Amino acid sequence: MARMKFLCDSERCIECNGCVTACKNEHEVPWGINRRRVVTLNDGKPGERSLSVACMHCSDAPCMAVCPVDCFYQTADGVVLHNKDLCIGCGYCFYACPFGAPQYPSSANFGGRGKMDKCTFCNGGPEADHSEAELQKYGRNRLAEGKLPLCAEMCSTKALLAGDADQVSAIYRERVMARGFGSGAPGWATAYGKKG
Amino acid sequence: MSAIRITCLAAALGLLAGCNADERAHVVKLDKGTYAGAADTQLSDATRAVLRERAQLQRFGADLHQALRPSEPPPATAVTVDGRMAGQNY
Repeated sequence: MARMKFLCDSERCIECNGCVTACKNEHEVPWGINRRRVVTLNDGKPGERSLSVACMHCSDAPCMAVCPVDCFYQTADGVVLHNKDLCIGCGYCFYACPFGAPQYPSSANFGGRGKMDKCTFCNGGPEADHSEAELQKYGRNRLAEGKLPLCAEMCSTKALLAGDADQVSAIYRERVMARGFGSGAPGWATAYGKKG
Repeated sequence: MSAIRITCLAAALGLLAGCNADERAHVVKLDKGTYAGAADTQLSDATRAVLRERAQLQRFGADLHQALRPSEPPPATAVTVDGRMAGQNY
């Protein structure tokens, strides 16, 4: 059993936004919604870092904890998905998510947001795999085809890694050893009490 | 039965018939903390093995796109590939 995770190597990300474009194209995500986005810290200053951010498919996901209608579920491979038939568009998950992953497609009358939309780790939804309903509601199901999320597979510098957490961390560890210095990830020094 | 009752019954039936077909299957009973929606299809062990092979390709940035050439897809035994757009390489 795998535990699917994303990891963005900030030493490699060049803020090309290829991952954002690939995601929108693959899932035919409507105008105004970005399931993935590239965040740049210290823009234009020394120490600038870019990170590609989407749903991190948390092991103990706060969106799942706060959802009043329990529309979230976690697959056996650790992918956090939701059921749009159950979602009431309340926005609690948006407030709870530290990454700003949940998106809302419309601003209707009386403040209606529509059903929540977010990164599915290219794993579709509860509908039958590769069905028209799944495509319409959640986008493509690449995992069922034996393919990893397109954002990671498209990444030209291989900054964005996706897959089983054991494999992703092994690849990242190799890189850090080869570089001869720390990860360069923002917050590393704070988390581990020492500099890079 | 009075005319008022018949009118009310007809109105109620009319309202029910007017419900959105997509919303009739909604879960109306909530058991807090339990997902009550449709069950998802789990990945097979064969698919997981293919995904592990695929993840290993991320180790080698330069070779990745060659490894994913449409003419030479990675082994995808027991994985059915459906629903792709014509001419889509990835």
